[in-house]
Amino acid sequence: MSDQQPVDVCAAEEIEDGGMRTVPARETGWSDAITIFRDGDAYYALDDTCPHEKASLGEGWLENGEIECPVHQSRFSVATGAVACPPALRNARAHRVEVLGGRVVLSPGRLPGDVG
Amino acid sequence: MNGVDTPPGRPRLPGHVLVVGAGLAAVTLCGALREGGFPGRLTIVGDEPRLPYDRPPLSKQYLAGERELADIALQLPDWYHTHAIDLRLGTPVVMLDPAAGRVELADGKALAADAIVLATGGRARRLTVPGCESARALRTRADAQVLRDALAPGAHVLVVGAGLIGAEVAATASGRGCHVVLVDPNALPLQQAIGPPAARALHAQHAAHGVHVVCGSVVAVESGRAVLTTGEHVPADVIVAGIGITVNTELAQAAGLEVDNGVLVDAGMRTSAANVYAIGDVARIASAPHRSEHWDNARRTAQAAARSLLGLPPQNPPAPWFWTDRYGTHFEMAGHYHPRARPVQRGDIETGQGTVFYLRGSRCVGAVSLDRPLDVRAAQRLIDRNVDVEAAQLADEDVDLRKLLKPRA
Repeated sequence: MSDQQPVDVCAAEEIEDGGMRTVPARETGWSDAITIFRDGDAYYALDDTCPHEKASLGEGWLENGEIECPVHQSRFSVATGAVACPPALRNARAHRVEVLGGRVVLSPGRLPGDVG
Repeated sequence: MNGVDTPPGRPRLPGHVLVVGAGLAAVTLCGALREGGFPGRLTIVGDEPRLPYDRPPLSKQYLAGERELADIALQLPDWYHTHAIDLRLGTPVVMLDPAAGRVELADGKALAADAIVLATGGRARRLTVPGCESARALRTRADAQVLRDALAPGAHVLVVGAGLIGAEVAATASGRGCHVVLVDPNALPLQQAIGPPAARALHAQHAAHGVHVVCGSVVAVESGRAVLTTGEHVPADVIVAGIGITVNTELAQAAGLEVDNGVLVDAGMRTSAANVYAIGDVARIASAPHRSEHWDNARRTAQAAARSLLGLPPQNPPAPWFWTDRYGTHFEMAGHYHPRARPVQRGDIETGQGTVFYLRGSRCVGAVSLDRPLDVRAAQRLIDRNVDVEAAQLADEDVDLRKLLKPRA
């Protein structure tokens, strides 16, 4: 659990379908930048730094519910952060993100299924 | 040995798959088999004593001292346990008997299996000029450790070979404050593989970072100095040869398998002997023009062999892909370079960031890119999906390449 406050990132339609937006650490207070991914009407959020080597997942390729690291092609589920393809061995940290009143609201440090 | 019963319509799965070699291909194969539901026994026999590790960092972050062995493990130690893989390290296989489905280990033990997969890789070629007995190569973790200890600031380092490994070692050594001389007989290394603009962009980095680049070769080494074909004498406290590998085909050859610059395999990685497969650097797909030694090829051939072992038909191979990291830049290539393919520039690869796509007709057949990996992601998909493209769109940086992949309305 985290005592960090939810962050109002942007209007839901500002991230196009299949697109993403990276929120710098200074705007969230989290230890890493966080990238929000949109897939259809669903939004997901992961720590931006690839767990394998220093690279920004927000500069990666989003397809079929997976983000592919731009550097070594590790792939992660955007919903859970689970590694879908090595060389990464460790999962990416997932955060809770939801659309409230047409706004994308990110809860850094909270897990996606973490309600309340 | 007993096979595992499978549902009707699927062939019997082997009860025990034994992999000779413990590198990326071996580990990928075992992972893919378990992912595909393989319920039988899995054994990996490797000659190196350590847990399987990833080799690309050996010439980069590991050599630079930025990463340690634990950081470059292919899988965490627990993974082998949870995937029920019997990992036998430090025990080379010395004999393969395909007919009996059996291997013998250096310690005198023998193991039987229903399918044997050769993932024996290769070993670094050594320099053979007079006086070069102390020259190092870089293939294993142990090689990298020795070299890393030798690359002290101020050391005079002679790197022989400016291909991928040699160039990466030169860059790492230069980053560690060594005085580096890089010798290669080709004026423009990698040109045939990646095309002239990319080859120029990469090769020019050496001189720009203070590396003394010599077009030539080493004649002899005498009392800490190397004599080059150009007549130059250069100080060489450390000599590193990056002149390619020799594939470890001896087991296969002695067992009577068909071998020709690699163990010959079909698209399903089957060798000429029943129930024996080959993957990774040591395998050569008989119908392909070349044998590949890239990281991605090791994975893909392992996945292809896993499909065969699971009784599944081969899939169309995706466009080949590799990368190299030097002097803080990241280069990638997908597909193939062909001198008659039409080059299309996006950005300018020779002045910093950019990509060259290679087209034949309306199809992308290859792409090379410096610090623009997403262009290569797009190229891989353009190639794999046989998408028709226009050169003007590829060249226009305002065109989102992902949009080119979407089916047109």
